[in-house]
Amino acid sequence: MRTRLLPLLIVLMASVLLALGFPLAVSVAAAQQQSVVIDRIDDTARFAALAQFVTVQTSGTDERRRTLQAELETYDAVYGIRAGVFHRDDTAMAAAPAAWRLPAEGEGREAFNEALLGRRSHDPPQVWPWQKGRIVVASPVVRDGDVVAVVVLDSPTEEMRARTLRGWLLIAAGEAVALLVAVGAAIRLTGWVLLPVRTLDAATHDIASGRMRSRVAASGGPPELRRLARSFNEMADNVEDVLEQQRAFVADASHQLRNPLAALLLRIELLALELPEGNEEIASVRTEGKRLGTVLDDLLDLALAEHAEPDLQLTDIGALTAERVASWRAVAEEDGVRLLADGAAALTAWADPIALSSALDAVIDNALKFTPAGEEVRVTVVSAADWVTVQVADHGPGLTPQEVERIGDRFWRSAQHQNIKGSGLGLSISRTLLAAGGGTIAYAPNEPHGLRVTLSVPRDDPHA
Amino acid sequence: MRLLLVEDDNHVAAALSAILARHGFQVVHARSGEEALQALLPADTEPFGVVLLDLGLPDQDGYEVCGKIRKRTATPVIMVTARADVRSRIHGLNLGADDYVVKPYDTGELLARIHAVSRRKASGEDTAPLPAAALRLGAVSIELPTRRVSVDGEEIQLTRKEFDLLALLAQRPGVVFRREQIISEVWRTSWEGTGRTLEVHVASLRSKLRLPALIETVRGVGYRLVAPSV
Repeated sequence: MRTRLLPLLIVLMASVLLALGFPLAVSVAAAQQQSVVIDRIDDTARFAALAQFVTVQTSGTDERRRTLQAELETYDAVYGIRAGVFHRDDTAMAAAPAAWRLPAEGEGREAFNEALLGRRSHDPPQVWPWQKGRIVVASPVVRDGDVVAVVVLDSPTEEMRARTLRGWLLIAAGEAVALLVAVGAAIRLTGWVLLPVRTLDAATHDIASGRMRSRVAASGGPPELRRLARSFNEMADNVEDVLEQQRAFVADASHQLRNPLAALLLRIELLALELPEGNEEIASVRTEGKRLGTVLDDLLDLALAEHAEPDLQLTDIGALTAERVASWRAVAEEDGVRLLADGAAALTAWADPIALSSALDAVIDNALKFTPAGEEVRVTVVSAADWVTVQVADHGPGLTPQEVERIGDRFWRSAQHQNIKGSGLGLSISRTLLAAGGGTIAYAPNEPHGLRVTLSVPRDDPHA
Repeated sequence: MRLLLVEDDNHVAAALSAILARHGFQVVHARSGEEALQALLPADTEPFGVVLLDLGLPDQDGYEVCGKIRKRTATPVIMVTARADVRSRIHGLNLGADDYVVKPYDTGELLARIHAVSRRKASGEDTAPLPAAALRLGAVSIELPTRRVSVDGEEIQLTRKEFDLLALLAQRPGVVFRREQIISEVWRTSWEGTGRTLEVHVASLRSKLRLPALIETVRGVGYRLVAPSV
């Protein structure tokens, strides 16, 4: 959105600046030329006044004519402008440089012909900085109402063009500054326009990552976005309600099923008392009943974990892990599995100790269940950048890559291990418990075989 | 031993009563908190050994009932409830419950807990007389400290395990002890596959004491000492 809005604004402002800048540049050039032309017209008038009294003599020494010639030469020397006074028949009364004559055609000739008609020549065409043209101005010398001669000034335009160019550069510099200001303003403007969108984005991200309490303040910003913010809040409320209902349903269901299940199990016990001891059927019925009980327990745990507000505190992950490993060691020894713990103690991170312990229990339980006797399960605590991780690596049969992707889904159990006891909810509970505190759980194959589960908890307070 | 079962769900209550009866307990069923408190009022009958209290009662909160029972009697209370969360357990135990069992429970575990709290109560009530006690059951007298057993004044030589077994059953005459409970208390192992060890010991006790009817086999459950009708 920003990348669309920003260029749009910049292009718009740049075109406004250009639309203003071009006429300005043209008028600067015109003004420069105008002042040059006026200046020359004044000069031609002066020379015409001098030439007015030069009598018609082709040779000889006329004091006035010499004065005129001297004036013209000085003028040419000082300003570098060719100046000449020409009779009607093209002969020069005086000219500087002395050899200069009017060209047969071109600008100079046109100006001369116009002046012969008794009036000043037209303003010469505009000379742009990239052109090399000259400015020719001609004025008639009138004696007794007749045009006797014409004063022609043929000026180079380098200086004028340089001045125009300087003016243009100044305009360009001004425009550049204005453009920079405009870009700055555009950035601020887009920021202001997009602020509600960014707030919405942050809130959406929060909700997506499980912080269902996130809402948007629907006060600031344009009305459309305010409406969007309100709709968003309504949607978030609905999503939260639905999740809450789902959780409540799971909790209620697993709660309400307990009484009938308890009665059922008791009836099974009664039945077992009637049957001869060691009846296999009744033993398996009892086992199924207990399995149902385990699934109910885990469902309720999951519902509670989803609802739980984690009590985050700076926890010594190393000590906590060591304690959990110590508790499981008896079970491991019974199964003939070596349960080993290594890694640094005194590694602190932010976690809810109860939630992390429960998550770790589920993971270690899982690892022990799948590791055959004689193999080992290794629990390692490592500190890595912003995380403290606990790795539980087993040497069980492991899982295929497709299975690794699905592990942790609710009720998912590997097809090869359908008959190992458990509800298939343990790792889901672990993930939910960890996620509530900003932690994660990841699965990878262990070498040469087995599964490696990595629990990560943040070192910095995730809600700080 | 008499048990008070406070449970509003009739199906659960009926099944549990039947099971407990099979284990030699006399069960009184109360459907509400009020009924339970009425039943606990002092009467001529034998006092209750243990109260099994469900928390979801129709008339009042189970925790409240627990608190009231605590005020009136020292009878041990085991909360038997569908509320599984830790907070409920802690709350229940804080209110004076002696134990907390979550439905659905294992029958063996529930029975073990009933025995555990009643044992605790017994050792708490009469700490002094117990060690010196000589249990008398009709013709049989059992001297616990000296580990001597006599029938009609005639001393009987018993092995260690035989004596332990007899002493255990004699603790609560009439109550059925489950096989696994006897094995864990006498043989100190949870391994149930001790073959016919228990049967062998029971048979030898019967023949040594020359009282075959003293120890009764409850099929599918375990054994109990038949209180001799005096």
